[in-house]
Amino acid sequence: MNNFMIHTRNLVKVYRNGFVETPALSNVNLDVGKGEYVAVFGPSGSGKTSLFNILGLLDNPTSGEVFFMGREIGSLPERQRTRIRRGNIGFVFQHFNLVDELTVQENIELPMIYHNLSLKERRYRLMEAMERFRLSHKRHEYPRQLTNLQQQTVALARSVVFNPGLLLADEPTGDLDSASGTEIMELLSMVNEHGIAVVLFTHSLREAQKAQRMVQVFDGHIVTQGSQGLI
Amino acid sequence: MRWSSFIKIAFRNILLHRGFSLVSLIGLSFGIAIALLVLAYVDYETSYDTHYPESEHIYRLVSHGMIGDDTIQSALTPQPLAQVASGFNGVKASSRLVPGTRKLVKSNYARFNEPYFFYADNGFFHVFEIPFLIGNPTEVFNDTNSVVLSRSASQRFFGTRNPLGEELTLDNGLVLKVTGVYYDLPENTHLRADFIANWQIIESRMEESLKDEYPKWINNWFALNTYTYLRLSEDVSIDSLENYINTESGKLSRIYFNDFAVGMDVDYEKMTVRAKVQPISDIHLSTHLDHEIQKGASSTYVSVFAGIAIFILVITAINFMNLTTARAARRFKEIAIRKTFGAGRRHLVLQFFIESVLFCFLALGLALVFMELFFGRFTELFDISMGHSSFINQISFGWVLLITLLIGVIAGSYPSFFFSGLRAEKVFKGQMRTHRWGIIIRGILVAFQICIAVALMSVSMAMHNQLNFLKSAPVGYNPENLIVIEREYALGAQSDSVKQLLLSKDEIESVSSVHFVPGDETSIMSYKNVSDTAQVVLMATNMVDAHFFKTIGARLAKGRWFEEQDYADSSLVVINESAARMLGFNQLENCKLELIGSGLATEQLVLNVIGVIKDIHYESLKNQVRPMVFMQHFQGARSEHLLVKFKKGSMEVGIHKVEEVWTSVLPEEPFVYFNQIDKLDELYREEYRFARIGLILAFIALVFAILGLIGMVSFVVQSKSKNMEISRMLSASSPLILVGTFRGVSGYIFAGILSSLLISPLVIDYWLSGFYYSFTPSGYCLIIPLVFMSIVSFLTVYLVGIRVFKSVVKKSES
Repeated sequence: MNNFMIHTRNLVKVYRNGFVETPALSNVNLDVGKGEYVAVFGPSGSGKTSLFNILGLLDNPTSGEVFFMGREIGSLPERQRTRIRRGNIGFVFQHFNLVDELTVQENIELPMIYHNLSLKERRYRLMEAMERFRLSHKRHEYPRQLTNLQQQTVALARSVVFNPGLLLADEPTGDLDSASGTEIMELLSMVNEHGIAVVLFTHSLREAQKAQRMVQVFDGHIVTQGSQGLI
Repeated sequence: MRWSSFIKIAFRNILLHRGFSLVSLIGLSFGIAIALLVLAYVDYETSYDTHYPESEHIYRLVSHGMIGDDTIQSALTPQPLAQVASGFNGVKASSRLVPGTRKLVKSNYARFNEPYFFYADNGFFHVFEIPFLIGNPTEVFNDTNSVVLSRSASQRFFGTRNPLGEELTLDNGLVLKVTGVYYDLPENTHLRADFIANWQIIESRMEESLKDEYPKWINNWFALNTYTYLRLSEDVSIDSLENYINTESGKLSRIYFNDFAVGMDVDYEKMTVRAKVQPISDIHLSTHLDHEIQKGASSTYVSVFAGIAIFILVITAINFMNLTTARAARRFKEIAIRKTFGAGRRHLVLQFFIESVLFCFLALGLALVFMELFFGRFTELFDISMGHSSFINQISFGWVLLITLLIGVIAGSYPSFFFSGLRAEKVFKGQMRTHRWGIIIRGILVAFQICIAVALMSVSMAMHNQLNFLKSAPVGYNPENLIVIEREYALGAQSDSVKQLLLSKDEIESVSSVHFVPGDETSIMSYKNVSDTAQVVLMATNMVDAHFFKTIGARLAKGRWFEEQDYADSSLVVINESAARMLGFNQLENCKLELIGSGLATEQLVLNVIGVIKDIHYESLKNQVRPMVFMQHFQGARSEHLLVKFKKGSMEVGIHKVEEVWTSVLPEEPFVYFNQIDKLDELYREEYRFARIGLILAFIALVFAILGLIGMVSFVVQSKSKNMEISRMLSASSPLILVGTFRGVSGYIFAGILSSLLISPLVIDYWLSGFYYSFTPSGYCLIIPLVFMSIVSFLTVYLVGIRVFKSVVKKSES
């Protein structure tokens, strides 16, 4: 289990709204190894976002177990989940989710301000991330001054600047044209090549095929999982 | 790093949302400015007489007691009391002080009428350790005719010359030598003194004029004519001191009474005056005795002001909080991102507190600039004097920073805890919903603000109506076309000829000499009803000439006025109706009064009442008319005022002619006069001030209510934007959408307006209860503010609602 970045057992998520219960995930068992590139794919309403939230420690499962780097985190309170998330998990969203009031440089730097990193260390990582993602010339610009591709690139740079063990990407190409989407997928692969485990959540089979392993979800169940050829 | 990031984002938020930030900033700085001004005023009023070194050990003796059936509460004490008090172990110093009447003071270089002239004994500068610029306080009264002056008085009379050894001549002929100059006393002291002359001058003059009667004067225990101050040691028990003083003074006054009341049928038990010890810091606000050197302020008003300041601060903070959270949606995404990337709740709490406090300090900066620019105008509007022309000099910055920090913390508390509790995954899903109680709390706040605004408007209207009523209410005389010339005594023997000269002018109707004019604090003397020897009463006493009643326009109820030929008979008096009622003088046959307590008369003074006049209001209509005795102005007596009544429409020209006469007779004497109507207005200065402040506060409350409404409307639009979009897609018209959206808001507006109908009458009744004579409030005082507030509220809702609605539409279309 220690080789897994994340490992779930009989994961169940049910949303309750008054007397109405809506099951989102049923008995999901999923492992993501360290440095692995996994694509979770399925149509809208299949449970991808629920799984994304639980794997990202943003939400707790209704039942079942979730292990993050060998530690059971499924029932932890928010404060502890935040502490674990800090520095270990990066996120990329469909709508970029950059802070409009911050510049490119400040957005990338944002996750590091909650770490106890020295100024020198922060500066170094920031420079390195901006160079790696070719954003140095845009460092003082605001998100509204960037193209969608540039915004998503900034979001990607932000998610890996603190060198997390796991990157979760939720429909990262959803707001991009196909050419830009291809570029982002390439950047995700590049991130993975740097040893960061990537879990891509997408409805696109074509994008999912870029991953080492694919997990197909439907109606809250994992219906198939395996390598490209197998699926 | 975090701090700089938080500060940076706070500034960027302000700049990115300029319009909204500006509304918030103006509202906040306006609230802070007003609250600080009011607090500075409260501080000024409550720190009266605390600037003297060790002021907590300085006390004043005052008199409480009975003269007959009347209660006496006076700031004055019998003259020998200081001597008795100084015998108590723990009294480090004692001092007697008497004010000189308004004096014309001359030096070789200048002459001025000086109202702040006092006589004090040697102990004065031991009790009040006033810092001296020139001279040694322990030696300044070594010479009998010495006087010390304030620095500003020295500059007035001697310019930049060294005043030591210079002479000052008073209009009573005294020549004084300057032996010291002290630093000006701050304005917030009850003892505003520009000249302090040696007490020994009074004693030597009285000894000279009274001769054998002098010991009787110096030991008089029944004449309240001296202010007595003490400096006490730290461990003195005030109760023991009071007991000691009253025991010792009781013995001495009994001896004096036995001597003085020989042959008089007066009960000693009915003439007891006891001393009370009062800290000087209590004088300005806590006691309102007769014969105060300076009229104190109402502690109720000051407490109300303090309450208002706190109220303004809290409302300001809440309004700011409202405006901040009203557009919370634009911060949700940022918070969710921060939380996702590891921001803990405490980070977010800290961030929003920093933002809030930072914004408050920006508002403070703006408020200080605003107050510095308009401080003079504000003090003028509030009719207050705070001793400085600069607001910055007035305030304690420690307090200001603390208050601002407090507002920031209060205002930042709700956003901090509310925002930091958001769940990131819900925000990303767009599942953030406004809690119903968010609207309810805002609604209650808006209703409360509206209620206060309407109530203040109503009360303010009632105040102005009452003041108009007071202005137009009959006062028992006609103050129109009537001027009062000060220092009539300066005319001396020429008084009669000047009066004749004035009467020869076409513009002048009548001229008269009088000691006290309406609005002055009159002398209170004790009288005995001769037909009922057990009845000893206190009555206001005035000295007038035969023309006074005609000049002032008084009306006769019974009997007759004084006539020219009555001069020879000093026993004739006229009383007012209140006195007649109190004494039971239904008929004027054999109505006699006996003046008691002067201690100087060698024989009893029996007075014959020859007439009763309709009551004249010497005091404000807040008080009942005092029983009053008008004595004749006997030959050689000093008269303070000359009344001149002009014919209708001739006053302006007439004053010029009076001045010509005055300067032709007394070219060296300043011609100082005032209009009696102004004197009448002066009686209601505090009420005018309060009414003006009420109006200002009503305006402030109105601004706050509008800000509250803006916050609520923005919040409601944000929380119902989805419904509004759906309504729009279903082709509902904009007005219909607005009505549907703001139906709830209008409920809160009506609740606020209607609840003011319960509060306003109570406050108005309470305020009017302070007046003996008052108007009957009409429904207009309630209805006009109510209608006005309804219009303003709905206009605000419509204008803000339509604007925010349009922005929602624009956003959804893009």
